[in-house]
Amino acid sequence: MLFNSPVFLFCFLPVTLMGYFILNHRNHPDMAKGWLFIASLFFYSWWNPAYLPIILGSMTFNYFVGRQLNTTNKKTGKKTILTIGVMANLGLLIFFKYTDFLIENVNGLFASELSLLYITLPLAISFFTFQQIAYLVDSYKGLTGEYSFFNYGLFVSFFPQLIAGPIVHHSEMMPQFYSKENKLFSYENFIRGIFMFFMGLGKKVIIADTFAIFANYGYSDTAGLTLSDGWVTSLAYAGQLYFDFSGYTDMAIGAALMFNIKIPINFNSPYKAQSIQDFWRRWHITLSRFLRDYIYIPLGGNRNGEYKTLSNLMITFIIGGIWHGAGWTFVFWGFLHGAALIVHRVWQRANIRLPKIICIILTFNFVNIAWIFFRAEKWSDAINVLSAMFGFGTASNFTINVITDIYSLPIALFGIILLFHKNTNELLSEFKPSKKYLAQTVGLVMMGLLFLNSITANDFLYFDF
Amino acid sequence: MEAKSFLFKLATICTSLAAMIVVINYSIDIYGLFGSTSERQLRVHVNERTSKYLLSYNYIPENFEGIIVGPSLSANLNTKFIEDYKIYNASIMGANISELRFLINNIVENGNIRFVIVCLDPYLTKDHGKKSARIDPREYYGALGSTNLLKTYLIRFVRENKLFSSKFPNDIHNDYGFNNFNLTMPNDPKTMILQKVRERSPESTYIDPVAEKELDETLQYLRKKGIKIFAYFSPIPYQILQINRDNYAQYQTRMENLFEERDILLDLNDEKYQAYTADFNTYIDHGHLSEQGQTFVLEELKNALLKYVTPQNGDLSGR
Repeated sequence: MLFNSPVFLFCFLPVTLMGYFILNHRNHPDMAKGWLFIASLFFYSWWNPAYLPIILGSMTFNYFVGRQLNTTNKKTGKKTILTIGVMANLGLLIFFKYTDFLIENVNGLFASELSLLYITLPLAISFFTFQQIAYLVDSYKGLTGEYSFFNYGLFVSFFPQLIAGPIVHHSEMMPQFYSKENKLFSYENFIRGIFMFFMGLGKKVIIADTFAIFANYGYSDTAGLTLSDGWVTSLAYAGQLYFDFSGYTDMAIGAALMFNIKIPINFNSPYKAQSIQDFWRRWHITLSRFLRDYIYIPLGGNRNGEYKTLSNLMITFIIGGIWHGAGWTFVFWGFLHGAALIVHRVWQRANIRLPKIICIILTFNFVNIAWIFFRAEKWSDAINVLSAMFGFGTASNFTINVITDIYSLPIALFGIILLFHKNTNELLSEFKPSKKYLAQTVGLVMMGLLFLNSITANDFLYFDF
Repeated sequence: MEAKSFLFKLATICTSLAAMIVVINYSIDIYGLFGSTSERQLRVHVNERTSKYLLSYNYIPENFEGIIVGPSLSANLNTKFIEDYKIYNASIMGANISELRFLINNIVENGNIRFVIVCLDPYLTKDHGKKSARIDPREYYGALGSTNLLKTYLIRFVRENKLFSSKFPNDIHNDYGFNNFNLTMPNDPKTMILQKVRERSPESTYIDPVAEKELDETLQYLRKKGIKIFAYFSPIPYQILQINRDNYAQYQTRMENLFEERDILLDLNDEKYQAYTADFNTYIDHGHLSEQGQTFVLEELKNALLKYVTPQNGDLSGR
């Protein structure tokens, strides 16, 4: 079920909200949680009920492994349990996400003819697997508590964050599910949730889907791109990805807020970043946090000398790249970011300072160029877009062909302006029930509904990861 | 303001605004979806695909006894000139049979049309599938409020007030579906035809198997519904046809195989029409018809219709 679908907005969300708060109001908190848990599983299985056993199996397995970790006192025994747990999670992810990629590479390397399995990737598997690995590691460290299965299941499957994050931590979710205060309907949180949700909806259906028209057109025939087309295509995708993913996150934050649950922010104006390190503190913040806490630091972080630090950075980002998709272009995208972080670290040591605006332009352009490898389906597409951007394309002139719908241009320009405006988190923190915000919310709701009823809706990009 | 009052006001204002927008659009009913259209003359303002698709729900079936379907080659035929019949030109620029099927099905299911005229050109069957998201059943509800509707109002205003006449001429579409794109297209047939001949680059005559099947299914569906089928091979400049005669003959044979004896098939590329097809003035470019070309095709269609379909002189009640 998509957040930007009428069935979600007018059926699923109101019914789930009503059920949850009515049960809580009648003093059945466990039933309320059970209702939310079942609703979340229903939300998940809307796409394909066949995936339901996978997520249920994964949750059950991890819940019991977590309990074992919490009750076992012997360090060696705990380590064995943790290893089994993490390996099982990774095994599940590798099987569904990387099997065909591995077969393709084996075939390429050894000229073998192993058949591809064409395994369909279960929705959100990358997200719920990472979330649960973090839970197991924290259980190993003794940082988790005695949770009931419903609470644990809700932590993993809570529908606002289930499909595309933010990747939440048990320590920020579990206490909220136990809080008595959160069980009461809050008008304050509800209107803030609506404001945030519709800001996200606007980002998705108005802006991201408009950028998508140009980006999709450009990537549909990369060989014919002119110099201007190359730039419009790459910039449009940079805009699309940001507004799409951050729009989804805003909707997730807004929907959760309606249930009095605060989930962490995932974006903080990333294209205003002044360095690549700054970028990763602003882009997909919860993934960066996961990579730092559960990969970079366990690898040794910056504790074992400069060379080891740099290699840890590179390994972390290559893993981050492949987490996004089973393809060498994703690995290369991760490598580019790892390399940029290494260059940034060396640069910082040299203590050379550049004007702020130059830093922003350099960082954004690097990120934009790296996105080409993230978006391109084939190496040749990425090379074609890059060649076109730097005047080496087959049609290196200044004609713009990818802007096929000039009516969409004002929306795209508005999107560019928004990139440098206050972000949605800042706007939410300023929100208060006043006439000004009432007018803004009405505008957001009406625009959202108008675009929702128009044939522009696309799936969210991060559903693929 | 209290949060509770904020929520109440928000819900009230949004519901009222949404209801008002729906009521306004419902009463304007620019595509004739929600009420009788017998006294109305509706036309395309912008986005031909969506507009004709939406007109196919009610306006076309209610007001016309026959339709022409095809790509741009037939879109600029002004069927109003065939006065003996009320024929809507449901052709769409750049459309293939997959897209036109949506319109044909709608028109047949929602009305009682007597005949369908199919413009046969390789373009119709060179590929299959929808070329854009513009033909979508969800557009029906979009007629109550959507970006497409806003765009339609805007362009209608621009056209009717002659604000950018060179780009948006007011008389480009009429209420019979005629798309007078000749107004905005270059008109240099001789150069364009001779260039094609010189470069020996005629249009491809490839037939997509799925599209061929879809055309076949559409014809069978029409026969099953008792609708008379007319089809014509759209005139191709004689000079271009000469360099591609064998391929075109193969195309024609495969198309002819889809038709039965009871269907009426006209070959407007027959040698007997050479006076027209060899005349550059029949076209505006390498294939689209000029006014002279349109008159020639419309005359031929009219003659065929008169031979096989009794005119009702605008009285559609007996259909």
